[in-house]
Amino acid sequence: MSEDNLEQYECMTCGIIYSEAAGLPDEGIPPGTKWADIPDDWTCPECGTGKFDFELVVS
Amino acid sequence: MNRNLDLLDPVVMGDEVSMYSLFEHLRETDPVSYVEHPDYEPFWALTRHKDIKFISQNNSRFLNNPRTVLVQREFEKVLLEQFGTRNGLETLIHMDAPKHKKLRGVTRDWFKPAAIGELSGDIEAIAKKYVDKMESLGGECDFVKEISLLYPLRVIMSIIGVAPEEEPMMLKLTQELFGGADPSQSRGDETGDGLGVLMDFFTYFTALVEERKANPRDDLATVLANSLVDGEPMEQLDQISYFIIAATAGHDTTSATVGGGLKALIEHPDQLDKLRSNPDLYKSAAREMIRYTAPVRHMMRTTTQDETFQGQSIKAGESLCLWYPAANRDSTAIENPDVFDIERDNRNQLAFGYGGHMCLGQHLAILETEMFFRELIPRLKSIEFAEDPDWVQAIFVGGLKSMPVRYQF
Repeated sequence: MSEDNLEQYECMTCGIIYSEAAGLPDEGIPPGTKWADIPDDWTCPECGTGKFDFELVVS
Repeated sequence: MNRNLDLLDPVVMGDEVSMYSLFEHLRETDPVSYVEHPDYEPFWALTRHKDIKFISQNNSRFLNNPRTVLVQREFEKVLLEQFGTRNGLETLIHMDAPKHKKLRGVTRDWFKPAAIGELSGDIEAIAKKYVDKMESLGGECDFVKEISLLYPLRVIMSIIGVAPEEEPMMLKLTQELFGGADPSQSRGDETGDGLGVLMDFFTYFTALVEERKANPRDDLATVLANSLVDGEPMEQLDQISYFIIAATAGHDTTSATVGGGLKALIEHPDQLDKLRSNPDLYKSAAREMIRYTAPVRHMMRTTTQDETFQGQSIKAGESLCLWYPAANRDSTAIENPDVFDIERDNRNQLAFGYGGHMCLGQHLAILETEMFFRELIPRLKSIEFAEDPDWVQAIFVGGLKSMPVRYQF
């Protein structure tokens, strides 16, 4: 877990990390966007896996 | 005669020009094409990016297991009798949820970006070894036979834990498995020959499993040999199949990319110059080589409900065949797709598939390709074809069979 209680979530298919601190500005998700605030129908930009198949990265 | 039958002709599909010409024809005129061939169960051939991406992303609606790759009908009967499944093997590509996720999870940590990144030093060293070899061959060699077939083989075998002296045998078995339709690589024409290839893999990996149970090491073989699924040892067919896919797809595809990638650079000297003068482009170049070569030609899915694609109705239970190289040259999804452009943004390419079955080894493939050219290009003064390259005759996994080159370091 990074500073300010911002977390990271990992795609179980392709392994990319969604960081709440960094967001995904290229995908229209600003830095600081909490995972819970990303729409449920959002999919991994790398592999298309659904949000349901991301897991919290536990330090 | 319907040109779609050429999809099943390894001579047509083993020639880069004729293969892409066929894909262009189908994509433009018959994008959801019903293929009826005397030697194969019928299927629908899909060649448009949008359709292939959609199907790939919806694994519960379009299943892998019932029929995973194109196999001749008579050989499917043999596989069913011998292994209890028309697919023969039960690898990750043959599985659906929930089994697929459970078994993919067994090795997932080895292939995720952070883990692959830790292998950079080792892969760099292997890449250097093969570029050194190329330099030592005196300015002329068959790049495919001497270099690109062997470099990814060494990388994946070192990850699995197969000894270097076993690699020639692994290469031969892989060529017999994927290149079985090519007379120069096939073990023979009889169905027993194809079965013999699988049995040789089974014999080897069964012994390796026992060895790693008794003497565990820090390698993938030990992980697979000792893995538990739902608290129980992995089923033997699943386990041996896992070894087979790691030991074959883990190098044959990357070999095709490295060989095809160098071919593309030779044919596009402006791109070679750009790469030489801008080291920041190696990763991007690797991704473009993967898109441009697209070694995995197809995978299949089975519909679970009635569907419609491009106005064509398809019933539940029918077979779909997704042609990835066709998708990667679809101008409705990829700009100027026939242009080899190392600066291209390749987030939309489908050579690794898409969705839950997206290639487990994609990060390894990209890193291997990047590392090889990062080592080679700065050292290479010039390179040209010494003879025309030759391709493996195949309809599932394709690539170069030989590529004689002349060069100066």
